[in-house]
Amino acid sequence: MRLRSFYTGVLIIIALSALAQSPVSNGLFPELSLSYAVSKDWKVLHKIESQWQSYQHTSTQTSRSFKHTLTDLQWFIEYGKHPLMAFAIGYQYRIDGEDVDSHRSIQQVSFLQRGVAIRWSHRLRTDQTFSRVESPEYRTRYRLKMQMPLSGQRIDPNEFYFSASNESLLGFQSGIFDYENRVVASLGYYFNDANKLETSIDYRTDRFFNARLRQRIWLKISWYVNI
Amino acid sequence: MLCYKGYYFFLMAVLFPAILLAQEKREIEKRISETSIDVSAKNCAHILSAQKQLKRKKWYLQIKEQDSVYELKFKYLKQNYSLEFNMDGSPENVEVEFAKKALEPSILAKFKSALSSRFEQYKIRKIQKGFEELESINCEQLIIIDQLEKLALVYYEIVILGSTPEDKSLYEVTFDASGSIVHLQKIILQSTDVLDY
Repeated sequence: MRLRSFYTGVLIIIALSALAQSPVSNGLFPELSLSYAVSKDWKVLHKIESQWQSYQHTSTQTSRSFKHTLTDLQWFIEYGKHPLMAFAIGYQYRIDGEDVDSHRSIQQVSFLQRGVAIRWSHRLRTDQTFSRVESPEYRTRYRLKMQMPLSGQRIDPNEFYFSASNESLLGFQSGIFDYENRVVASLGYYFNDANKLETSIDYRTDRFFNARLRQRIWLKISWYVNI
Repeated sequence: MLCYKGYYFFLMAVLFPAILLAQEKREIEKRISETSIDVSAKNCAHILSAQKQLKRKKWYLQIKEQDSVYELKFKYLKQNYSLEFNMDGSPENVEVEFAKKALEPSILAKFKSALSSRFEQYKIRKIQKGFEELESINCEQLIIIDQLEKLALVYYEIVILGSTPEDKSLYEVTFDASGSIVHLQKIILQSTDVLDY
């Protein structure tokens, strides 16, 4: 039943994007995250994620070439004395396949809520992006994410789980505001607490204020390693 | 052929180390359908359902290292119930979630006193009243708290957020009917890397 809801959601997203007249692109989005504790309260996380576009449709052209869009290398250090709250700062280096590379500083605070079966995470993040050719971009982001087992009331080793999130991003660059929204629906497999594998549909819409609405749909494959 | 197998194994080991790491023993809980329940437990649940209005009824199988139990969770009169049956279908324990204000002030004071001696600070997040030794109780009485209090052995399971000089963690604390701590364990949370990044 839950799996059926997941696939229905995916179909709705695909149908909506097909109907819309705005620019649409899609592609593959693999990511790998490695985290480990360096002390009782401090944790380090390394992450690499890469976007590979396979389809792009605009009002003037349609292309079906598989090309590298960007690769992000991220490092975070997290402090969490409270079991349900954590602070983190991070740095990202972006290898841009179409433009110049950029640097980003990131600050975030996250809160965990434990329900009977569902875990909820609230993440408030700010980031600042700098590059040689563009003005700095400042963003404020809020993400609500849930994770629920597909069998029983908790996620046990070697079980599937479902997770979904919505993130709102408000950006400011060169005196202009922009808004972006990201909806992600994932089917995950919990090998154990050290290894989780997720397959997701990541649906992003942006350029709400500045130009025609842009839609990007990524097939995301994520591997989370926690040692 | 051997070489091909070796290559395949190497590839699996590199790509999916999680499969190799996943062999750990622990309690597993699975959602199950009512058709797979032992007939005695099913009958007892049917009797309960027929007598009272049980909402959101769900069956689970808890596979433990020593034994396994069926668990029936439901809501009755706005309270969350959990009923465990052994594999023969006999009820083992009943746990009912209570709001802090619904507990007797005297027992709550005993909890607070016991917790204050163990923790610098604490906050109660969940209270469950448990009942075991249910041999003299019939199925109809398993959800009647007054009956359970008279005929069964009472205990309390409380989840707290507690601070010690070393750290701040979630704990599950079990009290006996007199309000003394009989068991205390730290709750180990699953990693939140999936949720936070």
